Amino acid sequence: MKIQCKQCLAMTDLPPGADPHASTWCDCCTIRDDSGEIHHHGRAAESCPGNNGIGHPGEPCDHPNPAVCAMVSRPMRPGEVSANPAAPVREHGEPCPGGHCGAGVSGCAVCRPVTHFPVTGERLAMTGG
Amino acid sequence: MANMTDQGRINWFLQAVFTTSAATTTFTPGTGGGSPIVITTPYHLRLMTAQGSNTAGSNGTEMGTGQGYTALGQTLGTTFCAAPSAGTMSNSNSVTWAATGTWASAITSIEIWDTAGTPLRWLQGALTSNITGVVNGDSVQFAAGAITINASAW
Repeated sequence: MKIQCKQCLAMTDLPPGADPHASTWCDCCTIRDDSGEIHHHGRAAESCPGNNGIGHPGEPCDHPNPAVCAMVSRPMRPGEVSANPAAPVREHGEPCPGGHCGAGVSGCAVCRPVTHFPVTGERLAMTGG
Repeated sequence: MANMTDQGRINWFLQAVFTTSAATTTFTPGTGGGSPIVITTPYHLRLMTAQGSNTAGSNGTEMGTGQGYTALGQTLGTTFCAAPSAGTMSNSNSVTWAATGTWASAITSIEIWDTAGTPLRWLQGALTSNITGVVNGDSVQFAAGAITINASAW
């Protein structure tokens, strides 16, 4: 199967069972963590602290600017005015570590979503059901 | 009796079934020939996490709705395949899914169904290698020509 970087469109063959996001074949993914390992798009995407830190596993980020999507809630402080005083105040917390990415997303630190190009085996059988 | 069928007849049959762009195609057998064969297109491509078999009713396990995939699959276009050659044909249109989350299970195989009120499964088969590691932001694309129907040994 081939995979393609969605940013620079470079393609490569992916060996069976290999992790497409741990493969490096183009120059797009230049981020290294403290241990020197290439940044892993998939792991970062799942480390999102959004939704008050509980993340949104398996769900897409609905923030208009995913690079700053982390939101936290806190009680209202004295002197603050709100249309709904009982509701906690939501504001940006620490910047998103890059759990979401895409070409053109400002601040994106996980730069390489890929396109998977599967193909079928030699023979696709007719079925009886 | 593999490799015994006249390929001219196979090509004829394949083109009638998989190249038709009519919304509904009906073949009406003569007396004793069984029930009419009705095909409602477009065909849909389904992604399977476990492969079935080519036995009637032995369907695979389809990926569930979510993370950018919708159960019952996605259309293969008005015309599924171009006319066959030597018992072989392939898809004319690409099909793409945009992942909106992690695909928890590997995709091992595909099935192709029609879009009748009660859809019928027409084709099933394994991928050359599983689709794994799909995460939010990725795409999965069956390019034109990626799906091959090979009836040369039917």
